[in-house]
Amino acid sequence: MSDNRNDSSPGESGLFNRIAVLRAERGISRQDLADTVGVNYQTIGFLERGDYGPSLKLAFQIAAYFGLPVEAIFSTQPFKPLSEQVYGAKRSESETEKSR
Amino acid sequence: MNTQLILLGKRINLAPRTHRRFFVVLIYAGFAVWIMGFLSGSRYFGLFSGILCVVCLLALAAVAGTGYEDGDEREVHRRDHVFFVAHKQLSWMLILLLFTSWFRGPNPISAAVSAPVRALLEQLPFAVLFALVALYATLPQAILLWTEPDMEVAP
Repeated sequence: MSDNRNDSSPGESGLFNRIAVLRAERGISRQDLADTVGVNYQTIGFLERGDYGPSLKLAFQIAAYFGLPVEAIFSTQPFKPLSEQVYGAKRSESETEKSR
Repeated sequence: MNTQLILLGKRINLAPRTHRRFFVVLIYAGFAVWIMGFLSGSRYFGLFSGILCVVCLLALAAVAGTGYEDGDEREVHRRDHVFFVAHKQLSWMLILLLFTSWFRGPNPISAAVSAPVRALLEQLPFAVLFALVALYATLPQAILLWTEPDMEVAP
C-alpha cells in the first residue's frame, strides 16, 4: 500500500490535500467521513493518496465537514507541514515584536 | 468493486492489484478453454467449457459487479472511463471479425492451403465471434480490476 499522506505528493490527481492529517487530528475514521459526505470509504482512501481528484461538490462537502475553507484542505501547490505553519508563524510574530 | 471473493468458504483478498490481475488472467484462461471447447467439436469438452464460462462470468460479476450498478462519483467516473476504453478496443475486434468471415466464402488463401488449415480458417470467425461476445460481457470489469490501484480491505 502506498503512503496515505497526500500533503507532500500530488499522486495521479495532481492535487495536494490534507484530509489524512485532518482526519487523524480529529480521530475520524474513513468510514465516518465517507458516510457523512456520501461516498464509498475506498474513495476517501483514493483521495488521501491523491489517486483521485474530487469534484467541486465533494471538495466543498469535505471542507464543510471539517469546518475549514476548501483551500485549507486542497491545493495545487504542496502544503507546508502544519508544525512549520503554526510555529513558523509564532516565531515570525515574536521576531516582529522583538524588532519593535 | 469487492475487495474479497469468498470461494468454497475461503476468503480471497483481492485488494492488492497483483491479486486482481492474477484473477483476471484466470478468468480469461477460462474463456480461452470455452472457445477451445467449442472449436474441438467434443460434446463433453464443450459442455465442461460452457459450465466453466458461466462460472467465470459469475466470479467476475461477484467481484467487479455487472458494470451497471450505482456508485459514488469516483466509481461512476471510473466505470464510464473503462466502458469507453473497452468499447474502443471492441471496435477493432469487429473489424477482425469482418476480416476472418472472409475465409468462410470462396477465397484464394483457403484454396491454396491444406484441408486441416482450411477447416481451421473456416472455424476462425466463430472463435473471434465467441471471443467478441466474451469480451463484450467482461472487458470493462476486467479493465477495472486490472487498473484500479491497491485498495483497503473492507472494514
